[in-house]
Amino acid sequence: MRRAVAAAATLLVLALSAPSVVAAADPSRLALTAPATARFGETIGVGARLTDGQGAPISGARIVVVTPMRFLNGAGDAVLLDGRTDKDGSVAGEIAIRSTEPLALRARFGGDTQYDAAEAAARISVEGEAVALYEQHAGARVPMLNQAPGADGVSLAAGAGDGVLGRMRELWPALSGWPIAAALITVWSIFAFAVSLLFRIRSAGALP
Amino acid sequence: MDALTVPAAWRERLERRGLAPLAGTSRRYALWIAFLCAVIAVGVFAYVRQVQEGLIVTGMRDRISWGVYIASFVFFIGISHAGTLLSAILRATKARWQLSVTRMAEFITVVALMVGALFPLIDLGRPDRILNVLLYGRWQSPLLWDVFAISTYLTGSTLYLYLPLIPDFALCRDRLGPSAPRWRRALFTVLALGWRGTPAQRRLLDRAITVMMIVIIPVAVSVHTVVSWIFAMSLRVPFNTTIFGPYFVAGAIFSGIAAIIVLMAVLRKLLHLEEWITRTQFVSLGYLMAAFTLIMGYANLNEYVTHGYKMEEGFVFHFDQLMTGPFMWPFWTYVVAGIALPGLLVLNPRTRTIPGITVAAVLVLVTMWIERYLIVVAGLRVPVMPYEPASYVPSWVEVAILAAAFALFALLISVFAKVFPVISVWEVAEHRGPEPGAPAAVEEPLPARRKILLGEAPS
Repeated sequence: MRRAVAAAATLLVLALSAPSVVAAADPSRLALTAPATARFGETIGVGARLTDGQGAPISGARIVVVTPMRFLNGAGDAVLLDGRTDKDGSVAGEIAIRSTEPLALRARFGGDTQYDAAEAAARISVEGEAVALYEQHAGARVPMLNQAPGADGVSLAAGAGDGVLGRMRELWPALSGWPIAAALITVWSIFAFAVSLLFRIRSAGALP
Repeated sequence: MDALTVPAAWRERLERRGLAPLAGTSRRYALWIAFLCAVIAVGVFAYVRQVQEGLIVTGMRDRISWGVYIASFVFFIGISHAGTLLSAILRATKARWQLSVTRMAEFITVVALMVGALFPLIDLGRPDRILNVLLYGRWQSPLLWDVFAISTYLTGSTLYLYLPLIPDFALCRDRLGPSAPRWRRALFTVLALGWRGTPAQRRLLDRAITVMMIVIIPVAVSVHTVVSWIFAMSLRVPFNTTIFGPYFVAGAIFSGIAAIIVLMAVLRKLLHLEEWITRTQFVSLGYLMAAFTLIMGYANLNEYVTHGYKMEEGFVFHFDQLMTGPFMWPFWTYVVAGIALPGLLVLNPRTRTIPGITVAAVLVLVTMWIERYLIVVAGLRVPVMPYEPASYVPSWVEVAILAAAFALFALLISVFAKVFPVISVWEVAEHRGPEPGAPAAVEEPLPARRKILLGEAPS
C-alpha cells in the first residue's frame, strides 16, 4: 500500500514537473495588395492574404493594416483595416486617400498557437493636388433653395445639363448661400432707398 | 404727422437746454474724458501684449476657448437693442412718451454695436487673419451670418440714428453763433443736408424714418437670433436648446431697456433735463423692464425645468454646476438680483420712483453680463469627452481689455452728448409738447462764452 501511494505520488510529481512539449509553429506568409498609385481623394481597395508555409490559406486569422501617423508631438499607427480572413485567407477593405503624401501601409498578423506572426508592407504614391475633400452640409437641404438643381436625384426638366440651368448648376457651390444673399440684398436695397431719400431732402431744401 | 403748437417760451427753453452741452466744456467733463482715456490706454497696452504673446496671456485654453470676450460681445450686442425697441417699436405704435429719450437709445445702439463688434476681433489669436472670414467664409457658418447681420444692423442703426438728427443738425447750424469753432459749424452745415423744414423735406424725412423703422426691427431681431445660433448650432450639451433665439432676443431687449434707463438717469442729472425726462419715461420703461423680468423668468424656468426633469447625460453636470456647483453664486445672483428683485422694485409703488427704477436697471445690467458669462463659460466647461472639467479665470489682460471696452463705450457716449443734442429737440417740440405737471427747468444763466456760441448777445 505504501509503495502504491509512493508510486502514485512520484507519478503525480513527474506529471506536474515535466516540461511541456511545445510544437514549433508553422510559418505563415502575408501578402498585402494595394495599388502602387492612387489619386488624391480617391477611395482605393486594399487586401491582404494570409497563407501557411505551403501556400494554403489560413482562415479566421486577425489581420490589421496600419499606417504611421504623426500629430503634434505624438506619433503612432493609425488602424485603417482590422478584420479576420475568410476561407480563402483574404481580408479586404477600402481606404480613402486623404493626403498627398505617399501612404505607407503595413499589414500584420500577430501569430497564434499554430502559425508564426507575419508582416507585409506596401507603399502608395499619391497623385493630384491637395484640395478640400469634403464640404460640410449643415442643416436641411431644400432642392432649388440651397441645393443645386439636379443634385441628389432631384431632376429638372430636360436640358438641365446644358443651357442656363446647366450653367447655374456649375456655379451652384458659389450660389449655395443665395437665400442669405437674397435677404442681404433686400435689406441693403432698402437702406439704399433711405439714402436716396437723403439726397432728395437735400434737393428739396435748395433755395430757388 | 401733424406738428403740435407749443408755447414759444417752452420751445426756447427746450432748444437752449438741448444745445447747452455743445456750447462749452467744463473741467469736470475734461477730467472724466481723461480718466476714460487712461483706462482705454491700459486696455490697449494689454491688447498689444496679447498680440505679441498670443492668447496664452488670457485665461482661455483649449477646453474653455471663449471667456469674457465673447460674453461681453453677447452683452454689448444685447444692449444695442435699446434703440430698436424704443425708437422703432414705440415709434411704430405711435407712442409719444419716448420721444425725449429716443436719441439716447439710438446712440446706445450704434455705440454698443461698435464696441461689441470689437470683441470677436480681440478674441482672435491672429487678428491679421480677419479678412479670411470674408475671403474664405462659408455661407453655412453661423459665424459668417453673424458678420453679415452685425454689419447690416450697424449700418441700418447709424442711418436710423442720423435721420431724426437732421432737423437738429439744422438747429445747431442756425443757433451756433459766429464764434463757434468753424469746424463745428461746417460739420453741422454738411450734416443738416440743407434742411429748412419745408413741407417737401418733412414728407421725405418722414418717409425715410418710416422705411428704416420698419426694416430695422426684423434686422435687430435677426442679429441676436444669429448671435444665439453661434451657440445653439454647436454640438454642446448646454446649448442644445431651441429656445436660444427668442431667449437671446428677450435678454437683449431686457438689458437694452436697462441701459437706456441708466443713461437717462445719468444724462438727466448731468445735463439738467428734468423737464423733458420725467418720471413718465422712467415708469414706462420700468414697466417694460418688469414685463421682461417675467419673460426672462419664464424662459429660465422653462429651460431648467425641462432639462432638469429629463437629466440627459451631459446636462446633469451642467445642472449641478449651476445650481449647487462652482457657478452657484453667479447663477443665483442672476436669478435673484437680475430677475426677481428688479421686477419687485418696479412693481412695488413705494420703490417705483426714479432712483428705484434706476437701481433696478443697474441690477439688470450687471446680472445680464453675468448671465452671458454663465452661458459662455459654464456652457463650455461641460466636458465633451471623458476628461476633467477645465477651469477658467480671466487674466489681467482680459480684465484690462474688458474695462477698456466699457470705458470706450462711456467715452463715445460722453463725446456724443457733447457734440450732438441728446434730446430729439424737433420731435419733442413738434410731436410731444410740454408734459403736464413737469417742473419747468430752472434757467441757469449761461456764461458769456456759451451765449456767444448759442448765437446770443452777451449781457
